Amino acid sequence: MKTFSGRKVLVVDDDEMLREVLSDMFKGQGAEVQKAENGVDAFALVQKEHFDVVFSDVRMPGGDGITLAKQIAEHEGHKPLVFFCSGFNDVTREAALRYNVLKIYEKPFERKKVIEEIASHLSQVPLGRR
Amino acid sequence: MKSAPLHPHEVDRLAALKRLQILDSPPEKDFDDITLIAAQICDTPIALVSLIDQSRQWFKSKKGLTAEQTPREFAFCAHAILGSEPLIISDATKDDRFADNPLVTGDPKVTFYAGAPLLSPDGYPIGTLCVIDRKPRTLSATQTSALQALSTQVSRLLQLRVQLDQQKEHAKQLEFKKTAIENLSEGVVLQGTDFRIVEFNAAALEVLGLTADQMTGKSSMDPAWRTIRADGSPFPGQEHPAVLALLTGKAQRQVTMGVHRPNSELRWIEINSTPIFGPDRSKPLWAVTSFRDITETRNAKLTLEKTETNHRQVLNAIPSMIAHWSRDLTNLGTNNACDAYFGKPPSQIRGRSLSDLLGEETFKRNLPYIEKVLRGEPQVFERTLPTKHGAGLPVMVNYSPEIQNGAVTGFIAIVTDISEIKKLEYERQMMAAKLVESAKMSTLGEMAGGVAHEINTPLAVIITKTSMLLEDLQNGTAKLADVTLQLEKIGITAERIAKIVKGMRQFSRNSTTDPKEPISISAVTDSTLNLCHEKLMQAQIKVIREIDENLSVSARFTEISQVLMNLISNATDAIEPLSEKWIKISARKQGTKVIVTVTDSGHGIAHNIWDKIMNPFFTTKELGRGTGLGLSISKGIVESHDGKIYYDEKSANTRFVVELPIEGAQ
Repeated sequence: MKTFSGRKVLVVDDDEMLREVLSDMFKGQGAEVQKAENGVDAFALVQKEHFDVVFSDVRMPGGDGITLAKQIAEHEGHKPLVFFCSGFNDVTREAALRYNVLKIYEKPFERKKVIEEIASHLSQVPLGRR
Repeated sequence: MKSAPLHPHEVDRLAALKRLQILDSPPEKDFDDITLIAAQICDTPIALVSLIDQSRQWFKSKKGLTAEQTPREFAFCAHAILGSEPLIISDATKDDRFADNPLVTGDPKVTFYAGAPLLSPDGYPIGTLCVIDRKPRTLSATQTSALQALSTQVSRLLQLRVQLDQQKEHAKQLEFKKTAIENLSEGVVLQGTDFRIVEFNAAALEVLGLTADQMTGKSSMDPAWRTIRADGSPFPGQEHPAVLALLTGKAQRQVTMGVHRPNSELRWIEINSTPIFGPDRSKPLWAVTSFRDITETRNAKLTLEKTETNHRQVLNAIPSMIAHWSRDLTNLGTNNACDAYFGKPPSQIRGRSLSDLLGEETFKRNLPYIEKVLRGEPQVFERTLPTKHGAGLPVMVNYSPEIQNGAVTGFIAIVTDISEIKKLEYERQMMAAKLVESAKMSTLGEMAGGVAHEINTPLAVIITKTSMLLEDLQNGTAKLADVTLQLEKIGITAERIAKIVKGMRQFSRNSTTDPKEPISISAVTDSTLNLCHEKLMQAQIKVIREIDENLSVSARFTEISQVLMNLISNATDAIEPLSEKWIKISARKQGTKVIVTVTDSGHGIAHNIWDKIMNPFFTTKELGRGTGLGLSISKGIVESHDGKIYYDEKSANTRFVVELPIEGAQ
């Protein structure tokens, strides 16, 4: 059984190619993957569907990652685990942690480490709540 | 008729007559009294004082006759002067010397003549005292001796008359000398062998500040004079010019002496002293000393000398070479710096010609400036002066015309070493170039800072894809079609990185010496926007691009890109806090120009800084952000492309316009 079997991941990045790569990466671990190209679109999806993980870029035109994390932290419904994947090293970690962002990965990230760590966090979350 | 022969010493006799200065003089009572007495004593109607001139006899006094003179050839008196005794003719009509004489045959019908010679003071017979009657007769012995006595009196009168004239002349000269001395502005004193002053004039009192009583009898040796020499040392009485003149018998000339007036005021005098010798010529008896007050001229001279010394010191303290040239280009003076350059003492420079001193070659090069300055136009130019060692001296040359009474009489040349200035100027240019470069890099850092990080996204793509492909290959789950597709994507992503790096490299290289090439406005705009892409995106600024694709200009790609990036960067900073964020870049053709505009959603620049925004170091950004050089450098770049950059004050939104000549247009 694959690590991410039965898990639902939302990939958020303005770069189409990276969205596709991340999607392939999580699918390869057995996850079901949805994609969004900015924070606004992503939050709309989070409100509609149950995601276990949101893996999001920070800086994006039309809705950044920090806002997305804040919205998730403050909304009434299910709160997926939020991870950041940043092209910049100037992300305000303080803000990220305030909104329960579990980890910030810097591009280019190490695929196996990302998978392992997210999987480790996921192991503490029971399956199947929709 | 027989005329009288000439006197044996006729020339001397005539000279003696002339010396008496009596010929043609007005009648005088002294002489007329004598002729009256002679006529009465001798009982004749006519009595004359007759003087025998070269060719006439002239009458100083005439009793009973109207004629002033008669020709000498008819003169009885011309005969009378040849003897020492009186000449007596009782009846001229019976004397063959005179019978046919017109004075006998006609008026005044001389019949009787008796004439006694008159002698000049030095003994020459110069004429006669004579009596004449119109009938034959004789003189008694008494009458004859009386006539002789009277003639002696006439001779005495003549002599007295001369002496009187001489005395008058002497008195006049004395009066002249007295008046002259009294009116001289020079003081004059007379001292005897005891050195005491016995005579003096008014000026002497005035110059020395003494009264006549104080002056009289005062000796040169009197210590109260408190005399000093020109150098200020004491001037003892025994060395005073008058004392030396009296002791040595030698005249003393132009001696300068300071003397204190009784009120202690110091006056400077220049003294001449001349000894006067006694009859035996052995020892001076007197000394005449004259002196004039030179205090004012001496002070003026000292002041002038001091001023000249000061001026000279000032001139010599000036490191520039200064030379004064006359109209005919001979040297009139130099300062030390100039002497040092020529390597000669001033004595070997003054009076020499400019061409001689400068050398023919330099002189010829300077000649056009010399001609102009001699027309009264000041000249300033730079020159490299030949030097004995090294590569020559860069100098600034300044010619100022010397104008007197409206005419150019010469000129002053001031030659200043500007090698230090040149060096600083070079360093400044180097600094400016570095500053321009660093300003460019600063803009690049600001605008393209995101670029490096932008690379991280495609890198993440490549690394992740590679990692997954490898895993598939290792697990044997790889499918050829999928591997091919993924590798293609990796390649495309890598090219994206390459393009970004290339853009940065192109922008950051030093391009100031690149030749101008035809460049596409569209291409340079895209390249610039690529670099700014990440920043603009992060700032959520919308870019509107309205570029006419076929426009090209002759330019340096990097420099035009730098100008655009600067404008985009400024726009980005300005509109970042606004809610409406866009930047529009447009390019269109207008005549022979390409008009590039960069407009942003801002609402213009404050009116009061319009004229400052192009100035170097002017910035509205906070400290530490922005160099303040962007627009001034852009202005320099655009102007070096024969273009213009300006703020469009008529636009509602903030708009900068760059005009460049279209490629191929001149």
